[in-house]
Amino acid sequence: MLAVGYKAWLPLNASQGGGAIDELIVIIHWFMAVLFIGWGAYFVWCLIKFRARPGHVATPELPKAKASKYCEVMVIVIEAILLLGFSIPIWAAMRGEGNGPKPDEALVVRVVAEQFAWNIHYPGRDGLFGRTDVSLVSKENPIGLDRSEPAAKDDLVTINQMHIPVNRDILVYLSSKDVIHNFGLPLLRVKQDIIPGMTIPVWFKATQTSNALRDQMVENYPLTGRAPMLLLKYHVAMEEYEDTDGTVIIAKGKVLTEDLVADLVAAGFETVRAAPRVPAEIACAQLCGLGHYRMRGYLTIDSAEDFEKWMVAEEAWLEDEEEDDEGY
Amino acid sequence: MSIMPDHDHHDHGHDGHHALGFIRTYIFTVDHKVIGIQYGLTSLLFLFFGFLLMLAMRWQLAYPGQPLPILQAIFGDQKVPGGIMAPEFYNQLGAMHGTIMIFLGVVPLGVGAFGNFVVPLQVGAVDMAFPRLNMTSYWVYFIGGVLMISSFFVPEGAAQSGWTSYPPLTQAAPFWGQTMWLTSMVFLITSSLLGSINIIVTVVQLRAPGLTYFRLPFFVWAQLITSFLLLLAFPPLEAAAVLQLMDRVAGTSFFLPSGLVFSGQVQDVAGGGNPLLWQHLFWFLAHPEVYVLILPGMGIVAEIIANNTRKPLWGYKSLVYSAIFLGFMSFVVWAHHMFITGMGQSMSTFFAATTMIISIPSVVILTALLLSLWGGSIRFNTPMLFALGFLPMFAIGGLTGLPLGLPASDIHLHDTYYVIGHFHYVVAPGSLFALFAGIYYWYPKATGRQFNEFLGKLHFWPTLLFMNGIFLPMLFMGMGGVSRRLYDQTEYAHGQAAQNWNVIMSWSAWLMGLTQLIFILNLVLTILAGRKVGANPWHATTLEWSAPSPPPHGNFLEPPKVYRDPYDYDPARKDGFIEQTQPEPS
Amino acid sequence: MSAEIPYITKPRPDTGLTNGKLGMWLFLASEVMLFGALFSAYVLLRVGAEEGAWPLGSDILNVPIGAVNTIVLITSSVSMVMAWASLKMEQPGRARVYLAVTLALAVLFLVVKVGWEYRPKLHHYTVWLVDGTSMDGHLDGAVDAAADHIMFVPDAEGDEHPEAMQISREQIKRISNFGPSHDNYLGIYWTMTGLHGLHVIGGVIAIAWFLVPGMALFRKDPEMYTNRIEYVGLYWHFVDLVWIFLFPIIYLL
Repeated sequence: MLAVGYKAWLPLNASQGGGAIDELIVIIHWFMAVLFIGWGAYFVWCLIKFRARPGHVATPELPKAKASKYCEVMVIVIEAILLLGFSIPIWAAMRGEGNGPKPDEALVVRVVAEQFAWNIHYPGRDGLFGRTDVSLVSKENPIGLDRSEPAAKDDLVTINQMHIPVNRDILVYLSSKDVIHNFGLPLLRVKQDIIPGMTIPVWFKATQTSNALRDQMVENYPLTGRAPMLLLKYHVAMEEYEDTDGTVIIAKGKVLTEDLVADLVAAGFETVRAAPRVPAEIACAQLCGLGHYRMRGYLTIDSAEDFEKWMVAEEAWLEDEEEDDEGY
Repeated sequence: MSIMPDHDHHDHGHDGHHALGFIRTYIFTVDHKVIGIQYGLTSLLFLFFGFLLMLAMRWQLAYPGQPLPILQAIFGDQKVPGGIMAPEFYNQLGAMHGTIMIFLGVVPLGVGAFGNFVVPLQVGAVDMAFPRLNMTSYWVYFIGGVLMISSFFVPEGAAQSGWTSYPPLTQAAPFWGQTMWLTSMVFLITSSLLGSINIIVTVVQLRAPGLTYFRLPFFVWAQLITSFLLLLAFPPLEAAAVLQLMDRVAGTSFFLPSGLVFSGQVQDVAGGGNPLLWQHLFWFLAHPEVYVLILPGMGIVAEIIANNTRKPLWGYKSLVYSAIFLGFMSFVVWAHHMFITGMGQSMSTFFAATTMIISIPSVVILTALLLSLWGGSIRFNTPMLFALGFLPMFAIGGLTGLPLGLPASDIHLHDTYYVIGHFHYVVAPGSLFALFAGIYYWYPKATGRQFNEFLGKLHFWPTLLFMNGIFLPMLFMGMGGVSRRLYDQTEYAHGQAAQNWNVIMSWSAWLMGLTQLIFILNLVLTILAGRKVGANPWHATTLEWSAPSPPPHGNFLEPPKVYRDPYDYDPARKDGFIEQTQPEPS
Repeated sequence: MSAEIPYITKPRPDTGLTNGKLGMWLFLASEVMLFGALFSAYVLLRVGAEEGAWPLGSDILNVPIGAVNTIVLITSSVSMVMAWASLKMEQPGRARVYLAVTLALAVLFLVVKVGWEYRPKLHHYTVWLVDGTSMDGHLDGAVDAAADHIMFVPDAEGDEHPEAMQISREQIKRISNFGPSHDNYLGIYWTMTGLHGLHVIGGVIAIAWFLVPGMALFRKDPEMYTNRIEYVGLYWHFVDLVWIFLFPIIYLL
């Protein structure tokens, strides 16, 4: 009920670097819990033992409190360990200049954020990004790509659809056309502000495919109640559901809609096993205007074969476009 | 509330005060007590208004897309079409909620109201050092507040880029709302500057004979340090506001890089600016600002704990030194709000280190207050309940700052609901509880009447419960990755997961709103029919309790002299305490 | 009632300060932070500017005029001190003269600034063309919003009076006068000198008040009057000091 694939704690981790971040978060929270429970127990004990009551008076002498001095020193030491032993190494690995994958080893992608969409720019087979210029920006050409340039001929540009292969280093160059956005991949523990005027690199490696993630995020959702579509938006059924006479109401993997939900209810079902259609989302994590809440992108983590299939399909579509001379 | 008690036989020739008339006595007054109450009433009204804005937002969060006709009736068809608030209106409410609560609510209440009313009394002065400057600073605050609120009524509405007003978003946002926000901030900052100068000079120059610095109540230390933070940290924000105003009205591009495209239009500006410049200038103020939010509260809690444990505070000197250290350190941690902007290793390590270091004085202060309970005889009246409630709530707030202050863990938690939960724990069941405690504690002094204890407790317990109902789930939501400032969280799968939390949080908020009516009722009833009290109903030691309740013009019947430390509680004495003005040897 | 607040005229023994003096020093501390923030902004903007995008101060601004204004302000600081010293030596007549001199110099500073520096900049334009070149000059007559071109008189060397030329709007990438929108250098110039100028105006108002209506205070309480002149003097020295930093940084570097 409360948790849908994303528990009321850390989400699934689908990245190589994410584990270290999760580990740090968990350790800090144990530390916090120890301090809070310790203080809290002492606090409650004082309130009981030293409450005003007939026959009880305050003792004006101040306690020596050696224990609290030791605790304070320990707090400082633990904070130092967390900073030096955990945070700094993780930050160096994920952010340190020069610590990212070499561009020729990784899949390099450009992400150009705008109000309110993610433009994903692939360099294509030649590995070279075509030139972009703000003067070429138009509705059909949101990143201002100069298609006449040879390097740009095989560039792929999608809107909100980011595909990456699993288990491969990904190097993303982030930029923005208008305001500050933030490239967030919660399941991959990636989060990076995109500052207009700057190109900021971020790198990660996904360790699970979208299909594998979806399988772990299956839940039973109620079909009745106040607003079932609120939780079923952008979800797919993870089982086939048949009517009493055998007709298929919804096949496995099909997106749930208001009408399909109504059909399921009419057929007598009270819950549906579903999971997000795209488990890994691109979330904008910096207020960017009135559409900030719907600046959702889709990250699909493919197996190597599926990624190749996707690339081929995109290239074919690009060729068709060029034949139509639309000059996209 | 009467500033002039009817039993005034000891009017020390105060020049024709009776002839001053209503306007000079209650409106354009120079008496610090009346000004303090003016700040108090105005800020409480703004606090309630800012709270109401959030209650409206919580409908959209709990029941996204469901119409609420009354919202449409209040705000009109453009902002709430068909009873469902528009996303830009939600953003306006969000930006204004934060701005109003901080700059029109908590700071004016903590510093303007409590600072003004209590500090001159606690140092034994007849008034603040600059009474007319004091009056000016209140009215400048008032104008700034009215300007800020009236930005809701300009074309396209109020500021909607967060209370943090980051460019270039502010540049893309509608013209009037943000411009008025900046203008209003200039007024509010000016008011703060004038007020802080007044408090510092009052504490340094107007201490009564015998009142050395280390005999000052911790509350006065807290206000002194807070005033230094306001004095030195606000001007960079004023400079930044001027720069952003220039970007908006004079066509400059201090914060705007070249090549920006808003809605398909390339921006006709020179370019070459840097959005991060705004962030640095803003956070240079805004981090000390959060200590401005908490320090007066810590001061209030310290006073009330000493009084209601009937023993001296533990570690008075360490409290003072920690607060001073905290003040200093608050100037060198600001970029921990900017870890995710693309910072490299050296900068992030520096600010992470300073952030870890600044947690130490906070820990010391909290520990000292906790240790002050040991060996006491604890009275559980309403001010003490709020002061005690402050302690674990502030602890949660402070502890949740740890994963945010380390850059690596901040990667996951930055700009999520975890942050909102963190800072609300510190400010809402933290500072606000302390301020409630202070209102209850000093209400008898200001009004000469005692409030109703039962209603006080009826205010406390549900508020404590609902505060946790609102903010505890936020920590879990943030852990799950739900971003802040989302009009409709169900657009994301991870947000959908949190939707049921939203319902709990909204109902907690609405019920908490109802509970505050008990508080208002109590305050009003007390003035009308509360039991009259004498100078020292709490049997407290500090100087304000030597003055009549309420104190007359000029405060003390005789100029006070100080002979002792601020918290000389001793069960061997009559009523368990000795006032600071008592020369009898210990 | 304010007469009961101590240490307005006589300093408090253990701090050695009067309330007003401490108050003024605190105010000046906040002003240091205000102008300091703007100076920091200047540094960040300049360091972050692209190669060649940040002009040399002396190419855009008139250094001799700035130098003259610097001397004017420094002299006014001297006359301000002399005014206070005269009061301490109980020579109110001389003090009034010195105050008047200070006021006159301050007004001169503003007149020079507005008349010789600000005004010309608002009429001087730069046109950036789409081919990447740019031209400085003046607009010939009012700009016709409906027309597809502007009439522009480019700057010339020496005594030449070039003809107005027509530039079609299609060729124009951007046009701006030498006001704050021109580029970040001019933006920060206008902002900082403007804010400084507002502070000068504040000083002018204060000094004028002490010269005319404030004399009533001198008659009633000469010591309080003298102290307040001292505080205004502190403020005035600060305003001068800001300019002493502004001038070399903005004009010379």
